Amino acid sequence: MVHYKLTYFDTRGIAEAIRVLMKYANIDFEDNRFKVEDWPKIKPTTPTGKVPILEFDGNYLIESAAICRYLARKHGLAGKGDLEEAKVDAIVDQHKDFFSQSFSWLMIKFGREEGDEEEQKKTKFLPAAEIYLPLYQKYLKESGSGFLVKSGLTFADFIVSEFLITLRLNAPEIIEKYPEILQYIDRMKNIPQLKEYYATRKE
Amino acid sequence: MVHYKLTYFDARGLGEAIRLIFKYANIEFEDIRFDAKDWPKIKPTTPAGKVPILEFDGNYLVESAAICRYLARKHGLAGKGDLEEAKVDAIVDQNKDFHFLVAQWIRVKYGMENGNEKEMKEKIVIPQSEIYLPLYQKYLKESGSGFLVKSGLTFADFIVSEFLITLRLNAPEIIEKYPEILQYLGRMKNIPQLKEYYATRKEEFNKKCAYDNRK
Repeated sequence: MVHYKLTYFDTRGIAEAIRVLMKYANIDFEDNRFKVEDWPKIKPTTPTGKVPILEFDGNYLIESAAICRYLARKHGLAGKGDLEEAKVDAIVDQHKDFFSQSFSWLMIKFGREEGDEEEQKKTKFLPAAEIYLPLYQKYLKESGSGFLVKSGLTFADFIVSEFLITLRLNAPEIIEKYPEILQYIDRMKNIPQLKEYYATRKE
Repeated sequence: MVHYKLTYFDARGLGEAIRLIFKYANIEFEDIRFDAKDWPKIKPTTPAGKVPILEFDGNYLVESAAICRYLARKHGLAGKGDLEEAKVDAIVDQNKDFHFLVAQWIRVKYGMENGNEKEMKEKIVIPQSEIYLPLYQKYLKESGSGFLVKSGLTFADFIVSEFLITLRLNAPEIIEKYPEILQYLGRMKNIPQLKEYYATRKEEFNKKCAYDNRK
């Protein structure tokens, strides 16, 4: 059996989707977490100076979406058939764009960066939210599966839902305008294999 | 035989890597191009309001990397084995980060957005180049194949080399400090299946800026 070691901050961030995927698929892994303030010490000990990093069998992978896709392909979570796999990939890339527009605002809000929180929220996050949240609603409506694509749960759901949870915590008034998205988050949290994990983790 | 139709600006931008895959693999496709100024007219006629878009068999795909990966998988251009496929994906995602940061500066440089070009170059382009260009050199040195990963040419090479060409056109003094990267760009242009295609792309075309269609 492969021994996986995932290294990341002791936060949800961009690695939580990997953790959730591994929990869902019942993959044993070493959940190696460190405190944000310890990063300067830990960084030089990692193969590439970047996290999340997944190490196994003398190999390593970086980039959260690439790691998710690698694991997802082995566990039926990458979409059904090449066309749907490409749709899953497209959703994950669109999410990355949304995330990029939201990143500065969130970093300022969390006190990890200097800047004008209101200005970033207004000029970058809100316009992006008005594009991407309706798009996610559209995917949810069209799939008919309760998840983002037709065949059901994929790694796109783990990635996108984590970010939507973060947005609900930090801009509830925005997310609450989208009822299908609120229901989707609840649906994720009620997936039998994950219910306990979601209930006990800190957000 | 599948009839592919690719729609994108008449520029390299994010669509060119897709065109290169088609050309390299010798797949026929309808190469629909339009001028940036016509985007507002064309946008509502597209299935998702976004380009590039690949249409075929009544289906469509958006997002350039997803389109590249879809075609690459069918033509042995996605990497060899699941581990290398993940490395290819990681390189493409890293390039997306680099591209995102530099693209802001390019839009300002081309007068498409307001901003301080010199300041952005100093504060964003140069520091980010000092992170990513050594990284690409490292991949090229370690692969031993002349391309980004060990098994040879993959869609990561099409995506990354196109961006490096853009960087070279706009900030040559930055790229010219990296000899392996310059050799790599030369190597891409000499790929037998693509040599002629690259040669027909004139500098004027290469410099065209694809409109930012996130809006």
